[in-house]
Amino acid sequence: MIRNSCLKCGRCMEVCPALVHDPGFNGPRALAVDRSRRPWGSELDTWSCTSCGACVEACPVCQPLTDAMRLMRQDLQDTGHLRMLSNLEAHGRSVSRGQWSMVNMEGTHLYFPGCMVAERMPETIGGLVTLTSGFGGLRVPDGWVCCGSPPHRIGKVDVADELAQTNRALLQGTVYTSCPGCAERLGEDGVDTRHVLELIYDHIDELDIQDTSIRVALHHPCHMMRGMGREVLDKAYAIINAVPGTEVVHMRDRDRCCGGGGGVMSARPEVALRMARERVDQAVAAGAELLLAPCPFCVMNLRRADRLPTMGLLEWLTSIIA
Amino acid sequence: MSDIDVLVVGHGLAGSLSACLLSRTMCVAMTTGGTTATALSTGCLASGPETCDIAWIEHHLLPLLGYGGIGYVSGDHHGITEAGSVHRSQMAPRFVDVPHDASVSVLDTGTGIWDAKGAARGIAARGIAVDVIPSPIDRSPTWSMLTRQAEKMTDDIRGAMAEASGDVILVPPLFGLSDPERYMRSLEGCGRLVREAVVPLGLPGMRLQEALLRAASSRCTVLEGMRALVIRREGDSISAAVLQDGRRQRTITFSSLVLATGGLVGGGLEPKGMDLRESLGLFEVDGTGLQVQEGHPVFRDGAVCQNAVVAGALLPGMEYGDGGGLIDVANSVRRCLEALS
Repeated sequence: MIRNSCLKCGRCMEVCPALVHDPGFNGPRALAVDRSRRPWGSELDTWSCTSCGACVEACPVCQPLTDAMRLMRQDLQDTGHLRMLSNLEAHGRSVSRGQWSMVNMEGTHLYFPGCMVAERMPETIGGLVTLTSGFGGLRVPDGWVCCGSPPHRIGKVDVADELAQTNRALLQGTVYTSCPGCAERLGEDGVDTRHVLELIYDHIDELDIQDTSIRVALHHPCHMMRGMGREVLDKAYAIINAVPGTEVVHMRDRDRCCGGGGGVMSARPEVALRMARERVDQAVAAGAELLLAPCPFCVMNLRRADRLPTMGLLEWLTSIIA
Repeated sequence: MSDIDVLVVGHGLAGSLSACLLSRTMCVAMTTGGTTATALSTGCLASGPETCDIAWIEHHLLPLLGYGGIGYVSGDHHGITEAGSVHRSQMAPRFVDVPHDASVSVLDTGTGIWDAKGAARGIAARGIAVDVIPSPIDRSPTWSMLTRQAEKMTDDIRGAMAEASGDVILVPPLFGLSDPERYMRSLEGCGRLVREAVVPLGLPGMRLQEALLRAASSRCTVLEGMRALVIRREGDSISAAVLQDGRRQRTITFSSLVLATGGLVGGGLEPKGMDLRESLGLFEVDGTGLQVQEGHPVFRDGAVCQNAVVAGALLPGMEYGDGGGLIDVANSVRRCLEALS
């Protein structure tokens, strides 16, 4: 289907954020052209695709290019992903065990922490519990496992389906999460998912927010704006604008991917790092003193650039709300 | 009570101009999902500024439309073609998977551009001029016309390949073929590696699109990254549209609608097999395209939709000569807005 209806316009190549950082990457258009035309020398390299969806958004004929890229990966294996798959098999998380421990959470709103937040940024969860206590608080279901987004994006659909089956029984009704990747995957599995920012947005007037004096830039996570919807991003901006003394500056390429998704951090860490540096450089050029991202994968990767203080948006909020 | 006065679906030349003009007196929102055919255009505006800047849109194009006419704007040597702006003379070596030590022949409509670009990359390429730009085809192309045109183009390429030498032959991009694999295999029958060149976007088109979007953004609400999925009908009118926002859907109500989703290439009329299908599934389509009466689209049951108008390439009979797309589309916008008022 993609091969027959591709216009060959090259728009996907123009917007692909990975193409400029990985000379070996064939780019999304290769799915329509090169793959079936006996590529010179080697198989198509698909591992630098962050599944950001910029190509899908730009395509004049709405080709599902990221889905096609995932299908291409189904029969391939990258050594960088083996650790993630073995983590999933061992303890149901896409990352190794970190600092997660069940804090006392007996609130009314169902909360899905996601692997990265639970194991690498547990302090965010503690802060969220306090922050949301005035409007119901959060509770985490016992026995949750990875949402399945990381294995799904590298083509291991059977692994993702198995994880989804475990979670499905636990996640009934509206589920809040702090990871857009989790939100998108769980949404695809039929779970009514919201970003926890949306809960905060609904109660922003009830919060006692400290005055700050700082210029911030907000990174737009791909799976938030293209997966969850730009409505959520609008709410993120509304929350930041409600913080007294905060000035928002905008980066040149507003919707550029940071390189943190699609398994690129595992398979092509050097490509992910180059993409993160580009993004952070743009934030610095815009005059930002702090870079915020409402996605734990983006935060992890942007921090690797090590050129500008970078925080999760929720982490920042919990630090300035009394 | 509607959310807005007018919803403009499509943000190319027709959509953006409609949004700009309507915003003078009404509350307007415009969807901006996907890449427009305007952005794909390689046409150059001989009588406009080279950079298609916002000032030109504001002070030249819009006033002319408002006064009922627009000056002649001619193209350079490409323009928006019936085949959807896919025939370009400049191919982009950067995106072509060719080893540096290979000898390359390029079937190119340009005059030595490839030779310079190839040399810059250290590729020993030889450009061969060949006339593969198809002659003008009928108004309102259908999918089958595009396919026939592409098949003829492939025959031209096969003929030109006789004089090409080297390990690799680059051919222009092929669009509209019903079975591209079969054609590529037939081209590869020469025993050498055949590659389709990847084309860069037309900078003039992108500049024009950017300026149009900025002009529209300063006047109306831009529903960024959204595509209209469904339009809701009430009697002989329409009242609401369901828009896709990521994985969520948003419903917006309006008093009037401007349908400017483009033609076959822009996604306004989608190919379904060898037939055409109107993407919102509400209006009548036949072999020549969307059915329209005095600017208003016709429902499938024959009723005329009174509060919707059609602009741009979605209109049947819209003719794009080389570089003539802009003036035609702009005038269609003027007619469409008269119909709406």
